[in-house]
Amino acid sequence: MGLLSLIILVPVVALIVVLCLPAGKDHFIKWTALLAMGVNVVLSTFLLVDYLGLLKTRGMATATDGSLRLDYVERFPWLGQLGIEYYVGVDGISVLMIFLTAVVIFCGVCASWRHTHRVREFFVFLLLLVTGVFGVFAANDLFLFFLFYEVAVLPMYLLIGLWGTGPKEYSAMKLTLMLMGGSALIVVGILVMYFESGSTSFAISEIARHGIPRSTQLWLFPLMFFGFGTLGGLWPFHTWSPDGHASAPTAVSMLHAGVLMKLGGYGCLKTVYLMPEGALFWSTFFLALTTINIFYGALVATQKTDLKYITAYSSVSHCGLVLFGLATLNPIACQGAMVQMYAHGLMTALFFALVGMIYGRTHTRFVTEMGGLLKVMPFLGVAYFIGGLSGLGLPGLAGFVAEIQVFIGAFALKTPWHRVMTVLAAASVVISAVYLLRALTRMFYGPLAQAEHGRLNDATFVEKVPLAILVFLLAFSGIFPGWMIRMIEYSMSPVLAQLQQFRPPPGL
Amino acid sequence: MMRELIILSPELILVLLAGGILCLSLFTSRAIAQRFMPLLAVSGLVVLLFLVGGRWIPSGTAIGGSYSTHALSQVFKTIFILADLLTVLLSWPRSDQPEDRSEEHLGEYLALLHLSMAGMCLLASARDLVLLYVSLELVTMPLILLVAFRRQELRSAEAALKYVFFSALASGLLLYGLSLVYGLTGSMNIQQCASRLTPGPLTTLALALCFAGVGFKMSAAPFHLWTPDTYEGAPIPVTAFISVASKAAGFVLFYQLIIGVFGADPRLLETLVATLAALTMTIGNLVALFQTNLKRFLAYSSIAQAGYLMIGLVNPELLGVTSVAFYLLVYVVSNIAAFTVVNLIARETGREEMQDYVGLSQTNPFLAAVMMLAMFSLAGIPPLAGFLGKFYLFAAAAEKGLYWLVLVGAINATISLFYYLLVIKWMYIVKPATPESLIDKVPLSLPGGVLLVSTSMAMVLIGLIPQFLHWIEESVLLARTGF
Repeated sequence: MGLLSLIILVPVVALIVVLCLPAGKDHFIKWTALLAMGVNVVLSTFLLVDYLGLLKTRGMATATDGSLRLDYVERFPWLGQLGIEYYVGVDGISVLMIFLTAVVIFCGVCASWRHTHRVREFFVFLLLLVTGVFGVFAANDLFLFFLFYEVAVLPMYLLIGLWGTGPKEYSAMKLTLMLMGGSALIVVGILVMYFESGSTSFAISEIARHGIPRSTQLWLFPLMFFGFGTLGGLWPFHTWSPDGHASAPTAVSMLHAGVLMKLGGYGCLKTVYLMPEGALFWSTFFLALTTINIFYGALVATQKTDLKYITAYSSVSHCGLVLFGLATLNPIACQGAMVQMYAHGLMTALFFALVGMIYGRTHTRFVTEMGGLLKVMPFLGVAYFIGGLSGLGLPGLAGFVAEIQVFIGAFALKTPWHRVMTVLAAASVVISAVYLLRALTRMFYGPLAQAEHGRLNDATFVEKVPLAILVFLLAFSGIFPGWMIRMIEYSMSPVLAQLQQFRPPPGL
Repeated sequence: MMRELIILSPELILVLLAGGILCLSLFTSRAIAQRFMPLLAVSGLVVLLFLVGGRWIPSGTAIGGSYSTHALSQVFKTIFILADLLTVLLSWPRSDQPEDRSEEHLGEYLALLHLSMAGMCLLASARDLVLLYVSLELVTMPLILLVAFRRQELRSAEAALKYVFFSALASGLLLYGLSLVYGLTGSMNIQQCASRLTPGPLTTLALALCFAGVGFKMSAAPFHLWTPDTYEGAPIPVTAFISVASKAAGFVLFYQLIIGVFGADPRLLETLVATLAALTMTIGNLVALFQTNLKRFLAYSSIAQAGYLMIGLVNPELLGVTSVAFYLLVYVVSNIAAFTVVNLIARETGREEMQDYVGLSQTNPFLAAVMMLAMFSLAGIPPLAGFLGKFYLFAAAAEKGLYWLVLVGAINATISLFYYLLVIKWMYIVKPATPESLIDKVPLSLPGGVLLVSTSMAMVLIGLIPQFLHWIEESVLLARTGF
């Protein structure tokens, strides 16, 4: 069995173990989940390091044709006459995403250590979700991809509905239906691509090799982009995100905003790869939508006082940047978009973990009811600052690496119309500074807002672990982004080659 | 002669089983009969399942060419027999209450079930309009009696009356259509009919009339009106049987009659079926959104499911037939799983409203989990079998270029997810207002446990291991080449 199958299998095995453990063994259940996720962190770190080694020996030649650069491939026929295969294989982008997933879920399990309500079911659904996420990033057969995609999306309903807070039933239903509506578009897209390309296999590389007729691409591309974009937080289909994230329990928000929304961006990337002509045709339209995304998300965030809503809208804005970068179809901006997926994943996971921990102490999520907390909980405060600074793109943190690339790439688009959109998108960084810094100063500086907050304690050891990991990775990737960019550049090159076949991407 | 008997053996065994069960109930004491009748039925059906499913029974023709089997009809028969087997397990009498009135006349009940099943198996093999019609009546008549089985209950009687009226109307229309076909072609043999039929207004009329008969069995819109009331009034095992086996019979009838006789004009058929499929699933889904009674809810969900299945009918080729047969298999297993839970709870507590299930996941975690699996499988969520089934149905329509139908189907699947999630919401999320509103722990009998475990395993495995799909594909291919 290969490394990728192993990574997918570990959570499944843990899930079965959790199901079989006798009742009342909550502690064992948590340890099983933590152990399994720890194993996956080790495995995915190994994958990352090994892949970097592979790149070093191989050199960085740009791709001349559009065939995907897959490694660690496992492929064998699976179901029926349509040619559905079990086909996994990764390129640099998926390696990075698998690593991100493993880290975030590990931190998520740590952050939900205090769970006491129906622990077994919680971890069963969590592990199911994670299996799906790993699967999507590893899959290279569209059927398998879609199967894992739905496995990743659906457990959310119960995770929010059962363990959430506030109007959780409404939020859970809204989130599930909107995302499943998106996947309804995706399943149509997959079948149309399969039959129109005349491929005999659902493998992404095969369909790309056969090519899809231009007339089909023109109508199918927006369908698919909206389908994946729904999960990626694309305006105007982002509305599930604030409600869903606000209602979800800590670990679930971390995972959902940190990793699941990346499935949307990742799917959009595959859509661009499969339908380059459609992408070139629709690029400007989606640039406009994503500009609204970035700008509007940031503006709304300035108006919110609930921490979870602030974080959720900042997620909409930051995920908009991912799609914005992709929609430019410019090499540098596309790379930036991928870095942004990674950086935003770490940052958002950090934010939601912190919000959960602070709420667990102060029992309020409203910024207006907090103040002077830095004296009481310095560790949490400092971690929050680092996350916030990454969010507004401070050099030295991962967010900067992403944003600068996206904006530089976008400025290469020379028409005035594109310039306006780029300027607007870039201006959102200033707005981010407004809402992030305002919330930060309000919460952590000044005198204590409420006297009883003075008795609160700082993070415990179990809580410090995930925070430390996330903060470390944010800083590390910000200071040494080279390895990351190398991986992305190497794997992005087939996508760009696909685009190049038809027209040089704008701004080259 | 001997060979014909062997070819006919599935139907013969079913009729013999029915007779044997009747004899047991007539000539032995009640206690013995109660114990051995279901046992006899189950063991007979298990043997039959292996004989037919494993293609041990040779294919060939009998009764002067009116009857013929091939690999595909064996597949359909296997699905029927599986549905019957699960239904018998579902209606297994409770050993702790032998005097329960609702389990009176168990012998007649089981015998009728098997007669109806014999009709279905005949239907899958009929190559002649008369035999087709007779077998269809053999399917329907016992079902009417079964729906009215709790004759003391008003609800059951009303359900049966509705069923009688609608089925009589459907049969009448069908018969009119068949007579037109005979008039146009001068033949009763399906193959000859197909070759002699020429397009024209009368042919279209005959097609429409025949389709009414088929649509009734499939509970396709606009012939679905009987479904909710009949489902609600009939005893739950009978409802389960009608919703799976009788519906499957409708689809087999479609292949036998509509494709068999009118298959020469695929454009017309494609348009007709695609329109009705879109209509059926949309109506079923939209009305299901507002149901509170679980049996009515499952009735509308089964209408919607018929709509999905009809998507596969637009493609009469390899992929289409495979997808329909495969989805039927998935649907039988998933729907029976849902009905098992409903039946167990209704039998113990008499409650069948959706909000009665509040907090079920805490008092009966196993039942709630099986129900959840069934709902997800019906909604088409991976890794359960319904996902692969729906994907194949959609692929069948996509192969014909009917992308709009795929889109309608996919959107409908999303709508249906809403109400399937509602059931899950009641079981898992909503907190009970008072402790009294909770359902107590329901004791599990052996047959009940077997049903729950086997259907849940089937829902997971059918979608993941390729053997089931492969078996159906291979059978369809064999049938194409004349075996």
